[in-house]
Amino acid sequence: MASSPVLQSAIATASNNQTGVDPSYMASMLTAIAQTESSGNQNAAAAPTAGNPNPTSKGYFGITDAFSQQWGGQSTASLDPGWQATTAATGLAYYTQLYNGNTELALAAYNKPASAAAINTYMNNNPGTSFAYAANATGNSASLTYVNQVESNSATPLPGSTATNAAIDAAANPAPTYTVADSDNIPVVGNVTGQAVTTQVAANVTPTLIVDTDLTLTPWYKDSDLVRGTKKLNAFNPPVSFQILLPNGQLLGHPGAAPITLRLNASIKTYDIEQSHVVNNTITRTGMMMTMWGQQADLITGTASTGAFMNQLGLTQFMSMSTLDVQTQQLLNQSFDLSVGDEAMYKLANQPSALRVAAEDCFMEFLALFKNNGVVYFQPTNQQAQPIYNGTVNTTQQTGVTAWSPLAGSSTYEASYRNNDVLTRGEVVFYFGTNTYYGYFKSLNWRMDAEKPYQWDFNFVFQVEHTSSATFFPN
Amino acid sequence: MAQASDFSDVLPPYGDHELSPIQLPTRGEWALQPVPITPSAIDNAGPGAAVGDVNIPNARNFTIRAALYPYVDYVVVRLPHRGLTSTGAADPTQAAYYRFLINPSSVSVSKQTEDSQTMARAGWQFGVWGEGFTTISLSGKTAGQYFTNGLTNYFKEFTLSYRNLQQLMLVFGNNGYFYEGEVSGSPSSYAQQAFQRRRIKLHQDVELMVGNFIWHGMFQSLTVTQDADTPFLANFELKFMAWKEQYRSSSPYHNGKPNTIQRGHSYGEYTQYVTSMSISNAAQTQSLNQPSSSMGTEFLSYVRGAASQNT
Repeated sequence: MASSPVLQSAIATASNNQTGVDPSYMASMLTAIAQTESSGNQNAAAAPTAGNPNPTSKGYFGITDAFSQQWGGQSTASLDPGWQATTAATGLAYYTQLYNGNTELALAAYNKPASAAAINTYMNNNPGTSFAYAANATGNSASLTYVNQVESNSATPLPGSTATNAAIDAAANPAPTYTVADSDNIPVVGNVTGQAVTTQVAANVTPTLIVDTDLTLTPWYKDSDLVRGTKKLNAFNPPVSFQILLPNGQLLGHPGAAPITLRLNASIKTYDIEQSHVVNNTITRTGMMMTMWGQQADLITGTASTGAFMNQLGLTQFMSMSTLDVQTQQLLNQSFDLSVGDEAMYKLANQPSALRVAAEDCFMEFLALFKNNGVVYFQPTNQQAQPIYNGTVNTTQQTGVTAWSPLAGSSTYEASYRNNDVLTRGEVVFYFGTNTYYGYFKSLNWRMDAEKPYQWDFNFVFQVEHTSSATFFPN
Repeated sequence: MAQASDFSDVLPPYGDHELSPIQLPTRGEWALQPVPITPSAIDNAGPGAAVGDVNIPNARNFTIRAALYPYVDYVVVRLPHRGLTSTGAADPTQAAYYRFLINPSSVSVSKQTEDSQTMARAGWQFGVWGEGFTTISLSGKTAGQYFTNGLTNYFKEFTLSYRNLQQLMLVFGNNGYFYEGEVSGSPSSYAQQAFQRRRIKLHQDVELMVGNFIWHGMFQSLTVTQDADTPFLANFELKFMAWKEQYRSSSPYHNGKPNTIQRGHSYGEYTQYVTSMSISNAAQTQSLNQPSSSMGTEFLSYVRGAASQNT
C-alpha cells in the first residue's frame, strides 16, 4: 500500500477539497490508484509499448498529458504529489458523478474514458448486465483488468464496488438457513429390519458388488439448499417412501452407511390396489370343471404430482441446475433490472444452488429408483483391471477381433456387451401407511404439460410380490 | 438462423449458392424440394395488393415471428455428424440442431419394465429383465403463420412457422440415417433424384434434449394435423423411442454406469471400417440444376392450381 506520508497528506488534502464525492470514498480510491499506477513511486513513468511508444503517464497517479490538460489545467503532467492528487481527484469526482456512483465505471474512465463510455452504453442497453460481462462483451477486457487491480489494491472494499455491495447485501439479507427437522426414520409400522450392506459383505459378493458412490450423496429432503413447500406437511403426514432390498436380505446403501431411503416430495394422489383370485373354468358335458390357483399377485397403481417446482427465486419452469453455464448466466443477467432494485435478487440468482429445484430433484431420485428396480446389474469392474470390463471400450477393442477368454468365459467384445446385463435381483420395498409392499415397478410415466405448469404429473404401476401389513389392538 | 448447423429453418444462402438450400438427406420417398421464390413472384401469383391492401410481400415477411425467442433451449433435437461448415459444406465433426419455434406444449415420457409372470401351483413366479425402451411423446402447436397482412392461410407456405414445421418433417425423415451414395455417384439435382430410393448405410442415434434429459434414439412417428377450427397453425404429435438416457452436464444429476459401446452400424463404428467416408467431403445439398427465376412462380401456380381443383 502507498504509505508515503507525503502521498497520504496529498490524498487527504485532495479528497477534502474536491466536491461532490464523499472524502473517505475519494481517499480510498486515490490510495488504491496510486498503488496500482506507481506502487507508491513518485517518479514512476510508464514504459513504451508497441501500442503506445510514447507514453506520458507519470507520477503517483500515472497521469497522462491528456488527463492533465483536461483536469489539471496544464499541458504536461507534473510529478508534484499535491498536483497529482488534486488532478486525479478532480477527474475521479467527475467520472463518479457521471456514472452515478458506479465505482467500476469511474475507475475504468480514469484509466480509459472511451472504454468506460462503451461499457456504460452496453450496460444501459442490456439492463442487469454486470460490469465484468459488459467489459468483455465490448472488447474492453483491459479495463476490467485495471479495475480488478485497483480493487485488489484497496485495503478495504471500495464503496460502490461489487465486493462492497455484496458485503452490504449479505449483512442486510443473511443467507436463509433451514432446519432439517425430519430425519431418516420412517414413521411407519412394519419397517424392514434389515441392515445396510456392510463393507465386508460387499467385498465377498462374487463378482464383487459395485456400489454406486452416488449413494453417499445427500438426499434431496436433507439438502438445506433446496426450497420446498412440503417440508412441514411431510413432518405430519409422511410421504410414500422406498428402499431397496438386496437378494442377500440387506438394504441397499453405501457400504457401512445407513440404508438409503427415497421419498416422494408430495404423497401420491390416487392409490389403487388390485387384488384377485385366479380361477380357470371349463365347461364340460357333465358339468363345470374349476381349477383354483389361489390369489393373484397384487398390483398397485399410483398417480402423483412432483409437487411445485420451486427454486430460490420462487415458482419456476426452469430446469434444476447445479452449475450456471455461460448461457444461463447471460439470461439471468438480462432478467434483473439493477436500476429498479433487483440487485439483491440478481445476486441471489447467481449463487450456485439458487436454481436447484427440490421437486425435480426428488422426482429424479424416484426415476433412479425405477431404473434400479431392485436389480443387480453385471458390471465386473473389479474382476478385471482392463477398461473393457468397465463398460468403456477403446477403438481397437471395439473393432478388433478378440479372442475367447477362459477367465471371462467369453471374448472381450462379448464381455463388454454383457456390461449392465441383469445378474440377479432383490426387491423394491414400498412403504405406504401401515403397509410394506415388496416387489418391483412395472411402468412409470410422467407428463410435462404447459396446461399444468410448475409441476409434472406421473403415474406408476407396482407389482407386489408379497405384503406385510400391521393391524392394531388395544394393549 | 444464425448458425450454419441449425436446421430449424431453410438455411441462408452461402455465396453464389443462393438457390441451394442445404438439406438433410432422406431415403427418397419423401423429399423436400427447395424452391426459390421472390416476394414479387408471390405477389404476382397471388392476390397480393389486388385485395385492396397496400401491403405487398417483401423479404422481411419470410421471417415474421410472433413467437418469443425461447428463454432457454429447453427442447432441442441433435443430429450428430450432420453439421455444416460456415460455407455450407458437410462437417461430420459437428452436429446439426433443430429447435422448435415454440416448444411442444406437452411432453409425456413412458417407461416399461421387461417382465414376465407365470402362475404355478405353488404361487407366482416373476422374471424381471431390466428396463425396456423409453417412449417420449411430444405434442404441441406450431407458431402462428404470419406473412403479409398478418395471419394467413393463403401464404402459409412462405411463413417462418410453416418452414419450421417442414424442417421438423425433414429432421424426422432423416432420423439419423446415412445413405449410400449421398455424394459420389448420386444425382446432384433434385429433379434427377426425386423419389429415387437410397439405401441405408448406417444409423447414428438422434439425440432429443428436453429439460435436463438427453435421450438417444430415433423418431417413431410424426402426425401433423391442420384443423379449420384452429386456423393459421398446425398441431403435431411426435413420438420418439430412446435406448439411452443421460442428463445435461449443468444438472445436479449423475449419469448411470458408463457404457460407451457403439452398435455396429453407428457412425463411429462405420468410420473404423470405412477409412474414407464419402460423406466426409460431401456437400449435403440438393442443388437445383440451374437457378430459374420463374420456377418459384411456376411452383406457386402449380400449388394454387391444385388447390383450386380440389376445392
